[in-house]
Amino acid sequence: MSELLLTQEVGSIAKPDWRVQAALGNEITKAHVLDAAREAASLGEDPVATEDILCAIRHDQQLHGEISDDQLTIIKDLSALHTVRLQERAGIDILFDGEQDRSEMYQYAIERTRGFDWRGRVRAFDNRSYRKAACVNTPSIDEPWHTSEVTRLQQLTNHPIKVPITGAYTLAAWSYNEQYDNTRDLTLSLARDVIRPNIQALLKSGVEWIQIDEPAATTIPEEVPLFVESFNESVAGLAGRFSVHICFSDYSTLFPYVSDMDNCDQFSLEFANRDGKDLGVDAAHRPAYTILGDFARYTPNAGIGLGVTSIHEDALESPELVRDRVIYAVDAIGGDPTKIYPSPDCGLRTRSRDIAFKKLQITAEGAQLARVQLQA
Amino acid sequence: MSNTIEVCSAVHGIAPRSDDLLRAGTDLERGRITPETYEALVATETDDWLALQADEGVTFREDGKLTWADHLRPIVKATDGFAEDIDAAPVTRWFETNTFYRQPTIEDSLEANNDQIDQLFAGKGYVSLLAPDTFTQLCASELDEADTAQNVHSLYKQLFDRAVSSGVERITLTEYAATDFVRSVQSPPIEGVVALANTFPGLAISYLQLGNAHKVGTIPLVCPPNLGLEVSETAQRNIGIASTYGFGSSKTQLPKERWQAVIVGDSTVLRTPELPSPQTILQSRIERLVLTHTTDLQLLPLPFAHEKIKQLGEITSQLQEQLGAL
Repeated sequence: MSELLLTQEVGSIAKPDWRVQAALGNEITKAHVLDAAREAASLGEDPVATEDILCAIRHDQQLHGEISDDQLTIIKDLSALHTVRLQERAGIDILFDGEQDRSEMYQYAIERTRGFDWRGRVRAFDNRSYRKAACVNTPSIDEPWHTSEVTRLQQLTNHPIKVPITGAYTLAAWSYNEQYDNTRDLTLSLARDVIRPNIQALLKSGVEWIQIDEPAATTIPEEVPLFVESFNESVAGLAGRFSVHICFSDYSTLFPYVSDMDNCDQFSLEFANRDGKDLGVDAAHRPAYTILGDFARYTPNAGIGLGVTSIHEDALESPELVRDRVIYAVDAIGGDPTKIYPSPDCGLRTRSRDIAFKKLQITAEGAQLARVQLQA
Repeated sequence: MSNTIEVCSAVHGIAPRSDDLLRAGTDLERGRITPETYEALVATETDDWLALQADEGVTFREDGKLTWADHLRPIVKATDGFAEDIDAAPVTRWFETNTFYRQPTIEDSLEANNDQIDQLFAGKGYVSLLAPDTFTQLCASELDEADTAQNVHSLYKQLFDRAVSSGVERITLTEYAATDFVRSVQSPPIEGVVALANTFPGLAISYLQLGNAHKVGTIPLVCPPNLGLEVSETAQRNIGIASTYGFGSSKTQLPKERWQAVIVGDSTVLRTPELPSPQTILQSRIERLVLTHTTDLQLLPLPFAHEKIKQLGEITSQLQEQLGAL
């Protein structure tokens, strides 16, 4: 693959309903089986084999009233396979498994961390919500929780893998703090004793690139230095490639502090959500991307994960629009296209799998158009 | 010195939804339940929310706006002049929180649809809305700054007019962005609120400022008697209950009503806020003190919101007793 404008996914992709219902202990229907087979066919996988697998499990479910743990694992593995193929088929270069085994980025991590009690659901946006917990004791983990999904993924694809994990600052910011006198102590405790062990385990598993998700990084501008400190605490001295994903935020508050981020190879950012929808490669048409000049100034060696497709609406961007966003971005960061990694703004979990595929495909097609233009 | 100050309490804003209602919302989106079924659930939960407030003795009770996706959405949908399809608009962070709203874009002169606005106010004696300048700051706009502010204030006049026509007697205006200006505004936020109060003298208006009020400083204004002003805990330490905005000096007219914001932040620590002493309240020469919460309740888990309402009830009773004992 060309090293220019490598495309990447960023986070979650919706789970197929047959996987969701199986995990909930609900019936796997004929429609589920057909849907899985149809998806398999569209992804270049064997639809007959897929149908056979699910039919057998469905048969057992009807016979015994439930499916076994092993059968659930088969379904989860099938879901991961389909999601990986979905990204490959769309033309994405650097991928993960769409976080098929995870629930929600905060909940999933906190459920596996000692020292927290749940307090209830809080609104995210529209009808979406997340469960919020309180830190009531010193955070710790029994074991890292990402290695099994990575081990499976490494067997499913030859593409480069980038593993997203939720960062310490966001976990602290999204929790109530009943244990420590201040936010810093909670944040650094999470960085040291929860995030860092997970990172170490991933590196030991052969993962080369870890993306730390910090959507809360700019929530309180006065705490951006703390976010930087927690990132550094999480990765200090570890031999790997690290990036940070921040979205739906005021990026201007990151400066100048992000200059002090050690070993941050890429800033993966959302832009399409707030950009113009007309073609054009100037600042007037690309208002969302003008802040890239500040990243070029303060973090000149870091790449940019460039959000080029919006993840909060089904409306599809054109590849030409993606192309123009990329072209503008390359110029804005100083002209080096190897530093730009086109991607969706964020995870695509809120979109259907069909729309997610199309968004990823458009990302890849737009990147290719940009590649052609830049190389011309 | 009179010791007959009326102590009241008020709840405002969007209530958190129960897990059942959240699940029902997802079911509705996916066609698993009908709109009628969902509306019935909303009605039940609204009744529960109102009943909680009644049980805690809250004076001014609001229905929780359980159908409001955010603080702007229904107003935007009912008003011409915004870009179409707000439900697909950009998702934007709600101040320094991890909750988001869909940002409206003002494209043209704003004109509210009276019938749709009336539905927002029907049957309600008391409602809360964003203060006009916060509403302005939260919108993107293709108009210049002056036109944007003017259009929003004009929209608010329409909203207030429809509210009064619908029988609303009291409105709380929540100002989240008084000192966090994204764009400069033409005049301090409170001037627009005072203008509304003067335009609608029969309407009781409470102006609840949730930012760092001490940054605003004092502004010499005459406060209309129908306008109640918030003094947050933070502001109180810096300004003092009687001198906010210059009100309370011998040269200005005092409002008859004042708010004391009593519950700050979303911490699990339900600390008892420091109220001014009853003697201080008596010296302010106001006729009515209304206690409320500064917390945006939709940012809390539902059990926490319940606790905040209960605490509001307890504090109100406590202060009533203290004043009665003097």
